[in-house]
Amino acid sequence: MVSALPDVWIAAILTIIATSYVFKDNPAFKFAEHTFIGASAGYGIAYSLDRLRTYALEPMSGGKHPEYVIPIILGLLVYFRYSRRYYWIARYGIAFMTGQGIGIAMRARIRTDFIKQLQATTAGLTTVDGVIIFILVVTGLLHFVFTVKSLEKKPFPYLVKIGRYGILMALGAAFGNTVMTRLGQYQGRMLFLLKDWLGIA
Amino acid sequence: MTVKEERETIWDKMENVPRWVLLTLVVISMAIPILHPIGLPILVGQPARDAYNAVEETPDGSYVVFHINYGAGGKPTLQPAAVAISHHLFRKNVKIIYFCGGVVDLANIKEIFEECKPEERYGKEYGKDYVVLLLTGDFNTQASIVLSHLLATVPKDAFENKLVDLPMFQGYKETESIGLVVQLTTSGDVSEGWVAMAYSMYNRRLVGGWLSMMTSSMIPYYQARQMLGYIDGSKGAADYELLVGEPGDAVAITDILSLSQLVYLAFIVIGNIALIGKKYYGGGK
Repeated sequence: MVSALPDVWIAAILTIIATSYVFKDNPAFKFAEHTFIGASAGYGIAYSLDRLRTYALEPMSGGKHPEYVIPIILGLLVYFRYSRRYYWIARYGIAFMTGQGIGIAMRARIRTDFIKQLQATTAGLTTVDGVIIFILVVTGLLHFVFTVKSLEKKPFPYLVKIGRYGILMALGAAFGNTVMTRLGQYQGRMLFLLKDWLGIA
Repeated sequence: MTVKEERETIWDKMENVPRWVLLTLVVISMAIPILHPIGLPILVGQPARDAYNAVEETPDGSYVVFHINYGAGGKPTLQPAAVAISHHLFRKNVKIIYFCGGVVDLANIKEIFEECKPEERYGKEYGKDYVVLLLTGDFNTQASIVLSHLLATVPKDAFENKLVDLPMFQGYKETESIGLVVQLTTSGDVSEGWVAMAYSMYNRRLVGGWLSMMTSSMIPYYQARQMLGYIDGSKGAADYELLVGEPGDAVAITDILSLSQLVYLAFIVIGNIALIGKKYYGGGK
């Protein structure tokens, strides 16, 4: 049975309008696109104000946690980027945010992406899979070495070629997975149209 | 002066199939299994099995941090996984800290509860057995807060209840209490970030789930045992649904994916035949 809910109808019509881009760009698609952007921006502002209330203003009320005024000031400094004269002040806020993010992440990243990955690459040499991975990692890295002259002599060009094929295989797998993901994303809309809107599935 | 137009060969036509033809066929191939389910067999993969075992082995009484981080685009793929994992967690004697960074994610979490019915089916109680947090800030900050400074930093849950007043946080010991971290995300930064934060920084057990297109960049973490198991898009979600005995949307979606990918495969073959044909018969380079 076809849904009687107005929100389902609005969502269904916007889904069909968005899909119309497949055939040609058109004013209806532009309308749907702008509606989405406008709704996202409106939501973003309302959400940010709500978070400001929950995390800063309410804890500060009644004289508690006066130190919370510091992040509020740092956040407000970012708006100086709209001033031609004082835009440099915004850098203090951005520098603090960037520094804090890097500070939290950096220590863990070195262990995660370098030490553990290097250990895992060499630890698997007892299996066929492990040997293949090791060879492709080493030859794949060789592919990106452009500054050593002796790599132009045999047998290095063959090793570089093996590395190139390894990279191409990885890219092929990534492409296949990307197709599956995109189809997966659209199938949700198909299920919505046929099941929730038209009620025929 | 007139320019003589080059005649379009069959190879050119095969190479330049209009995109609306391709996508119309894809839409039809998606609609058929929705209207008439085929029921193709699903073989449960090892990564999903490992994820299941990781949840199963989570110690009784411990806390599970469950990060929901996907919008409308990722919902068809990841929501079924979230529902299946939630069923599994609600069956166990663990306390679940759902958390998200936006209202869309919060709506997804509410839908998980609507499907799982934790009160009716599992006798669980909000605030005593599970809680929902709506956090702000960048991912690293959010993860750091949830894993190590939750009660000191977050005053209220997503429904304006004070965290310190909720029964489930009596005796909560921050990092030490967390037995497992589960993340479902459409963001590469977040999925990789969780490995850095949960595994490397706080030494917590981790299970992940993401879009299939992210799998090739995340597999190295699984192979290095930095992550105990993972859900690979819709297929992984279908595997998990079967493992917990709650077949749902993901199992249905697998049929759709299989058939629509066959259409894509057919066009890849056509494109390659055109390329080879042009090279040998059509005068192409």
